[in-house]
Amino acid sequence: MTESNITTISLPKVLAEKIKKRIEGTGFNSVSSYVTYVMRQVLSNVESQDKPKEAFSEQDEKKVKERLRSLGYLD
Amino acid sequence: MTKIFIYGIDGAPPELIFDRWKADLPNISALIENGIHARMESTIPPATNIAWNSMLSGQDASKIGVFAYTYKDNDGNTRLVSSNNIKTELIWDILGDKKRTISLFVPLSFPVRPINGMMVSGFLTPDIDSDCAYPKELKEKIKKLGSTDNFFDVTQGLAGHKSLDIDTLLKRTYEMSDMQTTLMKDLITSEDWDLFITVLIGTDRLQHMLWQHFDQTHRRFIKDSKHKDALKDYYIYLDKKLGEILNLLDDDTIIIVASDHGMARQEGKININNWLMQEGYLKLNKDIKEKTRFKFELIDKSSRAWATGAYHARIFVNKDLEDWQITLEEIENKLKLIPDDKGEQLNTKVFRKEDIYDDPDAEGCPDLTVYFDDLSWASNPDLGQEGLYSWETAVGADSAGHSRQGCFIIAGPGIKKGKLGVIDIRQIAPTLLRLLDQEIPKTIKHKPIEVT
Repeated sequence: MTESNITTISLPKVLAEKIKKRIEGTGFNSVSSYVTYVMRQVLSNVESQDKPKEAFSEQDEKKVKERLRSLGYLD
Repeated sequence: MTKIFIYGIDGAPPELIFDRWKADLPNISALIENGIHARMESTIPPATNIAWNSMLSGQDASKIGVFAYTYKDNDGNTRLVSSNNIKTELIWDILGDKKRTISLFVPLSFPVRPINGMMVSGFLTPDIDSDCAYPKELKEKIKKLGSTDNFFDVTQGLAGHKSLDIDTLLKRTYEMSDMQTTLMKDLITSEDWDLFITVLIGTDRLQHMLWQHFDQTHRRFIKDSKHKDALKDYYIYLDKKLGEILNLLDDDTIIIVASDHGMARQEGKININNWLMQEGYLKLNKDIKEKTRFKFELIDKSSRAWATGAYHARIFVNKDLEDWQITLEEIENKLKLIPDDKGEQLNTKVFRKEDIYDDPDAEGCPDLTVYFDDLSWASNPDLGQEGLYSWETAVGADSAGHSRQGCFIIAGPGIKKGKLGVIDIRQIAPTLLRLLDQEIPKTIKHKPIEVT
């Protein structure tokens, strides 16, 4: 990630200290990287509620999936 | 007023078009000589459904919102992607009521939506009775062209493309292309348009199956195959069709010939989930003995990582791991050390999502994307395979796989001549907008190519 893609946010000091202890030995090398990781998880759970409208009827989907499998494009 | 016609040839590799068969393709050669040509870096991954939409939006897979052919719905079921999954504006949305677009056979345009112009969807279309044409009356024109079973793709109604004998595959590919180019020629002359986009998929279908019939360096090369010229002949046919189309276009039309990715011989496949199991990252909740397609439902909860993706591999590290970052780095480093079946080192590329995508937090975004030997080796996520290497998936063998660079050729009034260095597929949409004298939205970060 480049510097220009990063912004600063504020956390209560007590929370930041807690996080610092929490990440010892976990591979997260900073409070920032841990908070980024947790926020991504939270947001992806929220966003997954918002799914696109399904385009295929059950039968059509079966037909196109079969075609994609035969092309090797479907895993 | 400038008009633009795009002749999309799916998966046409620069090595064949710009070099090996250039002399046999007089119309394409003339465009190369009279205009600009360049190798074009495709999307990550270089998949047909993503790459064409990147070319027509200026965005990457994360902004388009599509990383594969499937996604998970609210109930956790694996569903097919469609145009409803596309999150970004495409060129016809950006042009709005200012310019009229005709779009034929663009992958992932099913179901079609009303646009200022006309649209017929591409190879993911179920059949002629579906939402495949806007306006709907276009279906009547299509029905008059021949068998609609074979109109959107060669595999429709067949047990399987890979089990098809090559003569039948060739026959169906020509039938499909004849119908599609006839519709093109009809609409070029009968309709008003500013931008005309077409994608012909036959090249991709033939290349996957025919590569070992002509490429002497292929490890499964078939000497003196009766199909040794079949792919070249199809390119000659496409070039002839292009010539017929060029005769119909006005003098103020700019022509683009482009492909969404390239193609290269496939050495073999690496059984990625076998490897993850061998290294202790993946555990299945069932004992799998027979060749089985990978399914999320088979992952044991204690697993640390799993993979999907044919051709390239998409690796997901279990989000619940305390040592998520360490695990990711470990897998990343070990992947680069996987050798080929003879123990030789591979030129494997591993991309982290934050390094390649504008929105690494997008739903479905893989933590790592892997190109084994820069895509000369494919990934095989199937289960129940013996060992680390395989030569075919549960559905059959492959002769070639997608490579990273496609072709871009542009010629016509006001266009310079010459060869450019490698351009990016995301530069095409802003180039089209500039040529059509339209404002480039701020959401498009890539700069147009200097073509005039």
